[in-house]
Amino acid sequence: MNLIRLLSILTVSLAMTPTALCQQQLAGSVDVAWNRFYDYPEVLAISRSLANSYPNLLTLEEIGTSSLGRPLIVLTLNSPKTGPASSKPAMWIDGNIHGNEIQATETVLYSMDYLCRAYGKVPALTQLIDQSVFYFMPSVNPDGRANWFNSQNNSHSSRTGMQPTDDDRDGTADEDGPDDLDGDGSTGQMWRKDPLGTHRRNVRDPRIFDRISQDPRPDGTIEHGDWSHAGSEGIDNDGDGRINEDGPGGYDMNRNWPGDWQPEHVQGGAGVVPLCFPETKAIASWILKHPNIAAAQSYHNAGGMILRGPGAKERESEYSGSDRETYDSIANAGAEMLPFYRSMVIYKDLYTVHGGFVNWVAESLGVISFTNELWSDKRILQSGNDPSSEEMVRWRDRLLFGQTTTDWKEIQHPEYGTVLVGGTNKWSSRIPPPFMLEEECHRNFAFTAFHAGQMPLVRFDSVKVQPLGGDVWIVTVDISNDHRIPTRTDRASTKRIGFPDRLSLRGSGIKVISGGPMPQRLGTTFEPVRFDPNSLQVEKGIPGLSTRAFRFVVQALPGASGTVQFGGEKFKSIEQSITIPAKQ
Amino acid sequence: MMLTILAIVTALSVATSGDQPTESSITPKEAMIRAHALAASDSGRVAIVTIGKSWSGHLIEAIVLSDKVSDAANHPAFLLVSGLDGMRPSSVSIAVNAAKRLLDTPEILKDNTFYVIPCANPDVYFAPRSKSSASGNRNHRPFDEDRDGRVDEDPPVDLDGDGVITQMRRINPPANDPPTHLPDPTDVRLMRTADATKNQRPTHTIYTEGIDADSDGFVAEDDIGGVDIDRNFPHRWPEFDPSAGSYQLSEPESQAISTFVLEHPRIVASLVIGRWDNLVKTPDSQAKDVTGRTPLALDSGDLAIWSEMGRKWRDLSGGARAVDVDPSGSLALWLYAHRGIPTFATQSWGRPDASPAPPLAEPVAPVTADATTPVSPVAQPAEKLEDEEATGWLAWSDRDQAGKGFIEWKSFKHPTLGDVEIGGFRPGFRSDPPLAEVAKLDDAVAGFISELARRQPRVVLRNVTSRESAPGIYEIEAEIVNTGWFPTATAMGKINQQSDPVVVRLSLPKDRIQSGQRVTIVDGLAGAGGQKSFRWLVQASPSESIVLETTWKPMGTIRASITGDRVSEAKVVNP
Repeated sequence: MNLIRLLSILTVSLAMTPTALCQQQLAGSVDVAWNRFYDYPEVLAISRSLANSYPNLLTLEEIGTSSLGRPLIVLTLNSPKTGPASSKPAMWIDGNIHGNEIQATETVLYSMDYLCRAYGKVPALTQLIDQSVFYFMPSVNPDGRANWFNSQNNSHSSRTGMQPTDDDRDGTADEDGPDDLDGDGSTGQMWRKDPLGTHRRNVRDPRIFDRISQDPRPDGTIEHGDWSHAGSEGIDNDGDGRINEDGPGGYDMNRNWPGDWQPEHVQGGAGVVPLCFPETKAIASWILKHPNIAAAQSYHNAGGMILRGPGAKERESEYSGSDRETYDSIANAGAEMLPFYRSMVIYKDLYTVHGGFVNWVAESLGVISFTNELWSDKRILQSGNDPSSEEMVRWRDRLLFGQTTTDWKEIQHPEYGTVLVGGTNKWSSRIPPPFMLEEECHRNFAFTAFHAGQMPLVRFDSVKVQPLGGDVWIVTVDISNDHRIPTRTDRASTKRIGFPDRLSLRGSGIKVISGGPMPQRLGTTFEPVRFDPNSLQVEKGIPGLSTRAFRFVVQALPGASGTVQFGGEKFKSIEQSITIPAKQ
Repeated sequence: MMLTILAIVTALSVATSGDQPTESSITPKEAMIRAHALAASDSGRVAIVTIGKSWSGHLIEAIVLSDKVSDAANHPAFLLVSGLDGMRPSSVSIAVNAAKRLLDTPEILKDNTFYVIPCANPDVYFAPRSKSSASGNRNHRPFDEDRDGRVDEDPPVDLDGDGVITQMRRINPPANDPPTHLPDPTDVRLMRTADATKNQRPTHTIYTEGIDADSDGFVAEDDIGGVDIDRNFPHRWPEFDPSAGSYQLSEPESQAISTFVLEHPRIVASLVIGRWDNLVKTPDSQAKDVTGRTPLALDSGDLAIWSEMGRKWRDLSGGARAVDVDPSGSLALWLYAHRGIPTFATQSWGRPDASPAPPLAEPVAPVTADATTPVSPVAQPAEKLEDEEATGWLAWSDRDQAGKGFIEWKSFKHPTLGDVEIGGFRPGFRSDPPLAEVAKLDDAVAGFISELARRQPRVVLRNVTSRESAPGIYEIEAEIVNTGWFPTATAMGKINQQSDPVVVRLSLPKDRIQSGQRVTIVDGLAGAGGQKSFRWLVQASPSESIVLETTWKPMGTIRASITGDRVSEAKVVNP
C-alpha cells in the first residue's frame, strides 16, 4: 500500500467515523476520573451532570427516597430518534444494593458515561443504543453507601440499609455497633495476649498472626500460641456481654424481593415482608411498570463471578433447557471478557439465596438476568491463583504502599484489658485499588453491552403472497430473531408472564379467513387458530437466533393492500405492507 | 374421585355478589353502620379507625375495643378479621355482633384490647359489579384473565334472569369442545368427571353462566377483577395463580391488614373468619413447605394448642364439619407461620345434617289411598356416595330448605353454544349461614375470642430475693413464670423468632455482676406454669437501689427494686 493511498483511506475514515481514534479515550462532555470512588453526593452530581450534558440521550428521574431520605435515581438512556423508550427492549443495570459493594456504582456510572461518549462515534455502540434502551440505577442503597464512606466500617460491613433494627432482640435497635478504638476510621481486628492462644506472631513479619496447628505433637500435647483473636474492633456498648452484636441496620435488601421471598428463619436478612423497604418497593414498582425490560444486571462485589439463578435448589427445575442455553451462551462470553471471572449458578456454586433481585427478575418476570460479583483477588498476582497471606502483605506493602492497613496499636479495652487493634482497613479487600478500577469498570460494562446486544431483534425474513385460486391468497410470514435472547423466554411463556407476542394482518379489502403458525418453516401446512385469525397470539415468541413461520389465508381482490405487524413486550415491533397482486 | 366432584362443586359455588346468597339478616353495609353506631354510643370503650382502602376506594376499618379505648395501645391485644370472602357476607355482621357482645362483658375488656376488622375485603360486598359478577374473593383491580389486551370484558352474565350466576351444562358438545363431565349416578342433578375405570363416559361440558362477549371461543373467562386478597399473603403465596396478585402483598387490602398487624406488636392471638378452617379439622402438623423449614400450616410443637382450641370452638359453635380448602397465601397462614401469632381460622359454619330421608314405599298395602311416599332423589343410592359434601348439601336443601339451595337445571337457548341447561347450587348456599344460625355464631365468635383473652400468657416476676453473702456482695434470685394458658411464644414463633422474647435486665453496670447476665433474652415461656429461674452474684452497697426488670412486649414491663436485702413488690409499668 503506498503512502498516498493509506493517507487517503485514513482521511476518509476519520471524516466518516472516528473509529480511528480507538486508541484514545473518547471525548466527552463530562470529565469523570475512573480511578477513584465516589460518595453518594458525588454520584448524584455525576449523574445529574451526565443527564444535563447529554439531554438528548439521558434522562434522570427520582423514583423514591431511601430510608434516610436520600433520592433514589434511575437514568434512562434512549435515543428518541429511533422511538420512545417504551417501544424498545430495555436493559436494567443497577449496583450497590449492598452498601459496602461500592465499585458497583462506579461501574454503572462508567457505563452511562461511556455509552454517552460513544453515541454517534462508535458504530457498534451507536447501533446498540439505537436498538435498545438502558435503565441505570447507580446505587440501590445510598444509605448503606453513605454509611460505608462516612462511618467506621470494614470491607464487609454496611451491607445493610439503615433502618434501625433490633438484631439482638433486647428491645433497643442499633445500640451496639463497632467502635473506632484506634481512630483510623475503619473497623479493624482485636488481638489479646493469651498463654493458651490459638495464634503466634510471624517471626519474619510480626504484622501477621499465624494460626497454631491443633494437631497433637508426637508426645500427645497440644501446642499453644500466645495470642487469641478478640473479635472485630468494638466494646460492649449495651452491657449484655456481647460485642458489636447490634450495629447499624441489620438486614439485606437483596433478600427482600418477591417471588421466592422467604421469612427471616429461612433466609436471614429478608425483612418482615417482601418489599418492606422503601428502596426495594420503589424499584419493584418501577420495574413492574416497564415490561420492555428484557435483560438485567445487578452489580455486586466480590469474587469474580457471573451469577445466574436459581438461588435455591428447589427452584432448579424452573430454568428450562432452552433458557439455560441462553444464559450459558451469554455468561460464557462474559467469562472470556472478564479474566478470572467464572460463570456460576447462585445456589450451586455460591450459596442459597431466597428473595434475591436477579431471582425475582429472572423467575417472576421471565427476564434473562445476571449478577456480576466484581473484583477477584486473582487479579492481584494475575496468575490465576489467589495470593497467600504473605503475598497479600507484599501486595499491600509494595503496590499499595501500606495505605490499606493500620499498624497494630495497643489500647486498653474495657472488657478485655490490653489488646492490639489494627489490621486491614475497609479499602483493603473486595474492591479494586484505584489504579485497577477503570479496567474493572470497562470490562464489566463491555459484558453488559454484550448482554444488551442479545436482547431480541426481530425482522421479517420474508413475507410472501401466493394465489390459491379465485380471490383467495396465502400469505406466508417468516420472522427471524437475530439475537440470542428469545422474544419470550421459556419461563415467561410457560408461566404466562406478561402478554404473548402478536402477529396481525389487517387491510382494507382483505378478509383473513384463517391463520396460524407453521409447525415447520419449510413445510406446507399450518395450524389454524379457531378465533381471531387476523391477530395471532404467539405465546412462545421467536426463540433466539431462530426463524418461525406463520401463514394466513385471506380473501382479497387484486390490488388490495394491508399490513403485517409483529409486536410484543420485549422487542421493537415491526410491520410490513403487502399488496395482493393484480391479476395476470 | 371425590376431589373431582368437589372441584365442580367449588366452581359452582363461586358466584354472584356477596349480598345475595341467603335471606340472611344484616348486609355487610348494615353491619358496618351498626359498628359506627356502637362507637358513637360508647366512645369511651369503642373507636373505629381506618386502616386502609380497598382497590376501588372503600374504607377498611377496625373496631378498637377496650375498657378505656384511649389506652388500647397499652394492653395485650386480640385480633378478629372477617369479611374476607364474598361467599360469606354474614361474616361481617358476625364480627360486628361479636364486638357488641364483648362490650356486654366488661370484665373481658379490662386490661385487654380487641381489634375487630369486620370487612377486610370490601370490594366483594360493596362495589357495584356488573349485574351479577362472580368473583368470590377478588378485589376490583382490573385484570386481564385471558391476556388478550382487553380487561374484564367477558364477565359472567345472568342469562336466565334468576338473579344469580350458576352454571351451564351442554350435552353432547361438538368435537372442538370435548365433554368432561357426566351426571352423577347418585343424583343426576350433580355433575362429576368421568371415571374411566368404571367405564363411565363423559357426556357434558360445564361452563360458568355467561356468553362469549369477546368472541374468542371462551365463555365468561374474563370476569371483573382482580386479586383474591386471601391468596396474596406471603406464606406459600401461590405465584402465577391468576388470582394471587403480581407479588406478595401487592394489594391495598393485604397491605393495609399486614401493616396494621406489624404496627400493633401487642397482638397475641387472632381469629380469622374466611374460607379456611383450622379449628374443626386440626391441620397436619408434620408437613413442611418447599423449603423444608416452615410448616405447611401447623408446627408439631403447637399441636396441643390447636387440639384444645379446636375442641373449644366445636363446643361453642356446634360446628362439626368444614370444607377442605387450600389455604396458600391466606392471611391466617401468614399470621401464624411468619408472625408466630396463634391464629385460628374458621369458616364459621359447616354443612348441617339433613333430616333423614323419608322411607321408601314399603311393599305393603298403603294405609290410605293417597299416602304414597315420594321417592327421594338420594334415597338408596345405586353405589357408594362419592361426594358426601355435595350430596349432603343437596339433601339438606331438598329436605330442610324447601329446595332453595339448588336451582334446578332448565333448558336455555344459548347464543353461541346452542341448547344448554342452566342450574346448580345457589351461590353462597353452602358457605353463608342461614339467619337462624347467625345469632349462635355471633355468640360462638365472641365466646372464642374471649377465651383467647382469658387464656392469654401472663408473665409474672416472683420469688425475688436478695441476700448479702459477704460484705458488699449480694446474691439475688428471681423467677419468671407464665401463669396463663398460652405460651408466650408459639413453637412457630420461636422458630421464626417473631414472638416477643421475655427480656430480663438488672440495672447494675456489667463490671459489678460477678455471675449471671445483665440482660437475658428468654425465647419463650411455656403455657400453664412455664418458668425460668435466675441467680446473680453482684457487688452493691447496702443502700443502693438495684432495679430488676422483666419485659414481655405485649404485656409491658414488671419492675422490682432491690436495696440491700430488701425487695419491693413487683409492679407492672407500662410505657
